Amino acid sequence: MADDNKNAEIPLPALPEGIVKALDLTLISQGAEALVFFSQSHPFIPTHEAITNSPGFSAGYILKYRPPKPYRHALLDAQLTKHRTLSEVRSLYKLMLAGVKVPVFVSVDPRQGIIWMENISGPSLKKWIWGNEEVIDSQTEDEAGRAKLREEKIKGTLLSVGSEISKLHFMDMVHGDLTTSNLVLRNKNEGEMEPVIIDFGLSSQSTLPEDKAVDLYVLERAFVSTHPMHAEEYIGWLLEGYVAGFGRGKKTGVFKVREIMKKLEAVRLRGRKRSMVG
Amino acid sequence: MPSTPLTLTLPQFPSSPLHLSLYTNVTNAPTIRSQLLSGNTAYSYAFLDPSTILSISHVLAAVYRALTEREAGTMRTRTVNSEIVFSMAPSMNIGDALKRFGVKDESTALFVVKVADEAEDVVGAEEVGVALESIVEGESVALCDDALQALTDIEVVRKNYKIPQGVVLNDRIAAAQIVTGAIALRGYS
Repeated sequence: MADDNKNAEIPLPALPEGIVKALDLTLISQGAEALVFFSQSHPFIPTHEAITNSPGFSAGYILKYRPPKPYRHALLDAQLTKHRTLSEVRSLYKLMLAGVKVPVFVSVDPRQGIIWMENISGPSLKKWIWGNEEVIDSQTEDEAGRAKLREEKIKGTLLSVGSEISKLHFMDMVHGDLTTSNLVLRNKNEGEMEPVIIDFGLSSQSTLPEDKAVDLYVLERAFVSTHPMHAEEYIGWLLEGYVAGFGRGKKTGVFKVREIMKKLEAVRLRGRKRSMVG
Repeated sequence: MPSTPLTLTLPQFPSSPLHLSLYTNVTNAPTIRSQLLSGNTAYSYAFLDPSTILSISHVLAAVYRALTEREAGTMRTRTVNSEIVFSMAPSMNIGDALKRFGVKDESTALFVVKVADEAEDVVGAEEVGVALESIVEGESVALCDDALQALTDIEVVRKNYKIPQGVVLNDRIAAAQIVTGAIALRGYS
């Protein structure tokens, strides 16, 4: 960033003192709404030889902190923080129970706007595709050869990403901010990548095909802006996995996905926002 | 020779060491329960029924929640001990929580938690061990997850946390993720 120095002068909103003192935290990301920290140690399970059944994660933990916003009225601020923190955690918990791959939620303090969850160690889908494209481009100059390599290396992962999103939508959950950065790939077996969906800060429950179509549309736009060269190909694979994922839900799934794809066509024509006419 | 409890400290609460002990073949559960009900201050421990406990970290989740609530001044019960028992539950019904997770008349094993930070007599692990020796009539067992696992009744856990039959609880770690989640979310979902 060009104005690094300017940013350094603005102090970060402070975390509650007890947590800062107790744990070794590293700031890894900052959004408009929350700060994301990394911690190697669990917030409340110490390492001890007697504890062998600990739901611990070797990749460490993430602390997501929604600091108070000084420009809001304190009472409203407290309510909003609590509400948003809880809605994110409820989504995470619900999805974890349903077996959708999301970070396992560890603990929550809604009053302070703190969520603890599992750290997913791996590249974002965006970075992973970039890396693969680079390798492919260095291997051959020939476009047909590159296309073949792309299919070999990238298609499988995108199919499984689509399938993971279908699980989310099948249970009528909408992510709200599906982008190629909010999909993280972690190593499952040798070379096989397992997609994990992160950041449920904008998620909600919805039975409408419309909302799911918008989710997909947002992701499509993300592909177009981060991987403009082959976006269409990638989206095709992803939607292939998505539709196939719904197929497992038998008849209702097939019906649902048909409605969603129909809506997606409409959303593509008009953009994310619905016409407010009438 | 009274045995020494396992002492753990939660990173966020360095001045509240926890002394954890496990007893089997307990014969005086009804006495302990009636002393607790009458408010005997010598019994200021959290007594839990091990059949409802999956692992040490399961209890730590409840202790963490209780200590957090105490720090925020939002405890629902009178003492940190009862708050720990209450925090084990996924619901807001205190009486029900104490009945399900606390010591029962028919309990033959006990998991005892002491939060050693009150301005009280016993604070060191040895002292707690000695004090418990005179309270609990039973065999002290070295506390570890393996010992605890043998005492768990998985179906009771499933019922307490209303975990659907579809979710398999064979994997203790996956099960612990579900119950610790339920503990952290209690009252909010």
